[in-house]
Amino acid sequence: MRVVHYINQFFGQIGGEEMAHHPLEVRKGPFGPGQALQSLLGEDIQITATIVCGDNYFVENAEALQEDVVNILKDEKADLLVAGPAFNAGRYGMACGQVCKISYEELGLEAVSGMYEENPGLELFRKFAYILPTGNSARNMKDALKNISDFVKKLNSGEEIKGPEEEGYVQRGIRKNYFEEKTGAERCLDMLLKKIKGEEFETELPMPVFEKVVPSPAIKDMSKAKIIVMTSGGMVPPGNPDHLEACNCTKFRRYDYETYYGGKGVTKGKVVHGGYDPVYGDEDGNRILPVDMLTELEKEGRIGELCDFTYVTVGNGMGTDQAAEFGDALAEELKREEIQGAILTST
Amino acid sequence: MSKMQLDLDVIEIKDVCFGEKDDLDHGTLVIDKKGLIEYLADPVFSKIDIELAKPGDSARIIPVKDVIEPRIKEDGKTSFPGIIGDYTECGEGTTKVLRGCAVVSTGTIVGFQEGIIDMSGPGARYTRYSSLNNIVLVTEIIEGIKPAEHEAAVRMAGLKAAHYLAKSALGKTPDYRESYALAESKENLPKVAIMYMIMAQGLLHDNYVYGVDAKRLHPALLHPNEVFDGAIVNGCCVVAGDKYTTYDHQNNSIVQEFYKRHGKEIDFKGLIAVPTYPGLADKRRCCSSAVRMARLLGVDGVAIPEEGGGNPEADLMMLCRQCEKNGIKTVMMLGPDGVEEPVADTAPEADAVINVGDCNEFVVLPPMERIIGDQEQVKYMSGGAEESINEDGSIRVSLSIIMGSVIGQGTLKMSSYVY
Repeated sequence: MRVVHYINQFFGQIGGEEMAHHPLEVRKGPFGPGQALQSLLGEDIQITATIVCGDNYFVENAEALQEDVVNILKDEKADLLVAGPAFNAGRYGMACGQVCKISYEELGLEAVSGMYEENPGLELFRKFAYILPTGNSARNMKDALKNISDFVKKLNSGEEIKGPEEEGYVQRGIRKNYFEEKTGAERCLDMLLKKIKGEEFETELPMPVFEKVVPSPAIKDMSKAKIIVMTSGGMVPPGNPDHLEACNCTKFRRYDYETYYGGKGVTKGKVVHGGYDPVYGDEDGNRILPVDMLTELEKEGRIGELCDFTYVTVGNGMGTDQAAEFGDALAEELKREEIQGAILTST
Repeated sequence: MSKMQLDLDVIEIKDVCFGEKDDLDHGTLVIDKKGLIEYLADPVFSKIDIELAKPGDSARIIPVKDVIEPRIKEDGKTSFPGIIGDYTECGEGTTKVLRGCAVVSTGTIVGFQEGIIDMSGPGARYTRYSSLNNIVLVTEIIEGIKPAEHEAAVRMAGLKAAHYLAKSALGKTPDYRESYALAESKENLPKVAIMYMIMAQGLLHDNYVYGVDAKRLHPALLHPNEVFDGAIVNGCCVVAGDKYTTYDHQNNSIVQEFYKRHGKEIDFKGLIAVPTYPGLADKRRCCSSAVRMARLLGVDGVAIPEEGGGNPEADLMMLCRQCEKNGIKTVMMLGPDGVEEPVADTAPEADAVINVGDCNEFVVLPPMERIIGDQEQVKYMSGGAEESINEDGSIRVSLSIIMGSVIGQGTLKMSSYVY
């Protein structure tokens, strides 16, 4: 197994805080903590190169450095990335997380890192790597390297990596399928019998507790309010220019009526939502996005202004966590546009 | 009072082929292709073709609308009471079954939520239909047909084809007989029932009970034998991964499991069919009545498997809350969507849930020698995207596009965890 190791300017022995703007460089073989790690890893696993970069330099240029990191990993024919350990060093943790993200997203490579539980890089980037908890400072280096080494060896052995509780890494928050010994139907009846008999059982899917959203106070004067109408019903412009997916949609898009739907107060669009018969929405887009009525209300002065654009996504099969993420991003944009009220149509 | 007993006379189909006339010989189903096509004629179709797809074939069927097992009552007239044949003998007497084969309907897409069956390769393990000898109806429609009319025509064609093929079993000696009767339990076993959700959402999301559109139904008590005998028919374009095909109603895994343990571990009291409507008032009407039925049956517990995802979870939670409130234990069965909040509705009483797997997981399905239907449609199907087709002809899709991959009746062994 070929490993590329990422460390910062401090562990690369370039300097401390004053050298945090040191640009990215590559060194052959292991360096600094990598040397101790290499001796733990043994001969089957080789750290073939070490990337050293100043923390500030990496965090501030993460996007621009993406290509460099990808090229290094490709040149080294890396099977795995190890980043840090970063302990409680915030910017180092962020840089390690960024490198892991690039490795995982661009090349599908697994990554291993070590961070203290309060390191901000941990929460932000846990999805992209197996992050092992460490103590809060480099005094814990020995234990941290031992844990990283054990984990890397396990990955190298091809053994199945089990859940976070069993293996000790921070939960990444990725759902993964696996095959049980019994069918769902068998497990269902087993569980029902245990529950009826008062025996212990463990649910396979703990239910979430939804965050309660407190409604904003009512708009005092609708005749002065700027109102937007938007939908999760997949009413996209003809031709679906941004390729919104019929199910598990990964994006929302902003479209103005003038450019995309045939004029202000017009919804000439197309339904791409996979969860209902599109005939009626295709026939008349106002059935999904009722701008005809809202334009009338605007003319009558009942609302101050109808916003001349909309936001569209497809709600079909969308996880509520993703929906909440979209909601947060949308709310920011609405606030920036000084919109007072939003009508959301679902299907 | 006489008890209901249904005898399924099963003939195992090991191979299918075309021939001069319809026949069934030593496990080989011979199909008169021309005769079948003529039988299926409908002015809606501009063309009907039939292809065969067998286990292990390098073949992909896309987009799949329904899958149906050929079954017929001994009288030779009834396969789907209320649609093809009469009601009176449903769930009792003798029914001939061609096991190991199925009718699969494909052709021009009706709605987005149609699916894929791969007969070999990595996609095959996610669908029970890859292990069947499939008789595939490829239909094309004339211009100007609306999706709802198209769906109805394809649904009928599939049912008629299954009925037609099952006739070959008449007068033949079965390989074995399965008898289904809910014999009186000798011991004092836990009394259990199944809340059987029936899609009734409209806009291409409908099932049919005895030929009646589920949108016109109130909850009903069903004997489990009735679903084995064609009482429920699929007409539903919900996501392919969690849809129940007609085959899944005829071979409902959770119903079979309850039957298997009846008289040994449980006292199976029956099915409560609950139409799943989109509106809140209808949900309340149906769920509260269904729970009253469960109390009337005097059950200790119910299984609540889901069909579809998202909206029906409101019904699931409603049933769960009201059952638990009345001392009826519940276990739900569903496929989670997402990580932190994997369901669209929740309840503190929902402490027992079976996870049948995550349909959002991506798989790459390799190119196949034979595409039955039209692979281009993957771009518009739920679980596919514009970018789904790779240069080498493989497709990158989520499991939601594979027929029955995360079916809520718990057919497969799949589950999921968060790592």
